[in-house]
Amino acid sequence: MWAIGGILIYLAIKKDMEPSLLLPMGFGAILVNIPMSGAITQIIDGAKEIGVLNVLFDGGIANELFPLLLFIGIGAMIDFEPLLNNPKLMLFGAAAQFGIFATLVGASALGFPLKDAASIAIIGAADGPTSIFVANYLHSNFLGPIIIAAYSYMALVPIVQPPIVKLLTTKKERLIRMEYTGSSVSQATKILFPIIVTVIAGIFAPRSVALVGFLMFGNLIRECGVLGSLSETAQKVLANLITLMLGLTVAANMQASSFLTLQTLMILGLGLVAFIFDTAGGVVFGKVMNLFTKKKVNPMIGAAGISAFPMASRVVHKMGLAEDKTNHLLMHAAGANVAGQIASVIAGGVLLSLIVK
Amino acid sequence: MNLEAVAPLSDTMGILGLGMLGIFIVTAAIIIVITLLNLITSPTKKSKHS
Repeated sequence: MWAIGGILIYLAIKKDMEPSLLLPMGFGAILVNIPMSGAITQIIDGAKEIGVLNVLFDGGIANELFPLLLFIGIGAMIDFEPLLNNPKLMLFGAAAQFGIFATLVGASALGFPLKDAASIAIIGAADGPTSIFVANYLHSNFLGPIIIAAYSYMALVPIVQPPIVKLLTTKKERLIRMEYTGSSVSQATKILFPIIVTVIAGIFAPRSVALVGFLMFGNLIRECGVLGSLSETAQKVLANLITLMLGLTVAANMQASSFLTLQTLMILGLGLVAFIFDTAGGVVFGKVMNLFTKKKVNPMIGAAGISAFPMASRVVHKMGLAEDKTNHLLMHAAGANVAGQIASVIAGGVLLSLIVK
Repeated sequence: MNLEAVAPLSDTMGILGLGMLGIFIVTAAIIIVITLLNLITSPTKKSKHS
């Protein structure tokens, strides 16, 4: 496990892969695997000595507090304007959640109990806090590997997505231009949007309301125009602090006895499957959409429908420029990308609603 | 559903179908709301009469 911790630290520093999370996780993996480590709860001479990481786990992850607080910060960071300007982009966010449910089928076929299969599947949300929330809600035995897979693949989006997009699209499709007419979204829409989305998600998928609500609360702080200081604090201080705690605390679940198993390898493989099917879902949806609409969409923006923000939209933008230096898809991809953020949270809530009865 | 047991293929395929349907229903509701919000809150253009 020390080697795995070292690899995570290496990837964070040298490869810049989600360093704010992988570095604390890597260090934590070393910390908890020191024999008789005082950082985690131990039974010594029959007496239970509580470790600080277990205290943090019980206080921040077991009750879902950390991922929810992190969502306030994420909500404050997101500008929904590209989506509000072109609401049909929301469909790409929905289509790109296909990987979650496809992976659920695969994980179950491989013999994982439903609670673990669903927790593994949610890696496809491409959304760390949602993965933590769902896996913890279902009391999955594989929280550590699931979180590592979720954040690792999010960092690997620029490597994972392009070959799939190229495989599923023709050159002609990748050259499709999409008109961007500029923004005409009013301040009132920006303020009402987070409130109404929370209510809608709450009505249709009540289990998602905490996730959606905290995300949208963060966005309301950003857009209301009178809480600039709070918005800045949520985006920077709160998000950084929680990320720091989250990374270290997750490591409490990375003890060698529970981590170095065949299941961990299977989870890493299934996580990749989830991302592949997410990307494919979004791209194929774009192609299908083109069969029925006059104004063609570039199906590549479907790949940006996953929640990994803003990596996925940057990948699509770069792929568009690689095909045609004058074809700028960024605003459309960004719209699909923030739609993916909302859709992934809703997908988490829908999944819980379907299996927890 | 029994969370501790392995779900049969028929169940997981059902979750796949219902899950995607559920997401698209919520998505459609959100699209309608955004469209309405844009319509209601967009400033009306007054024609100038000289």
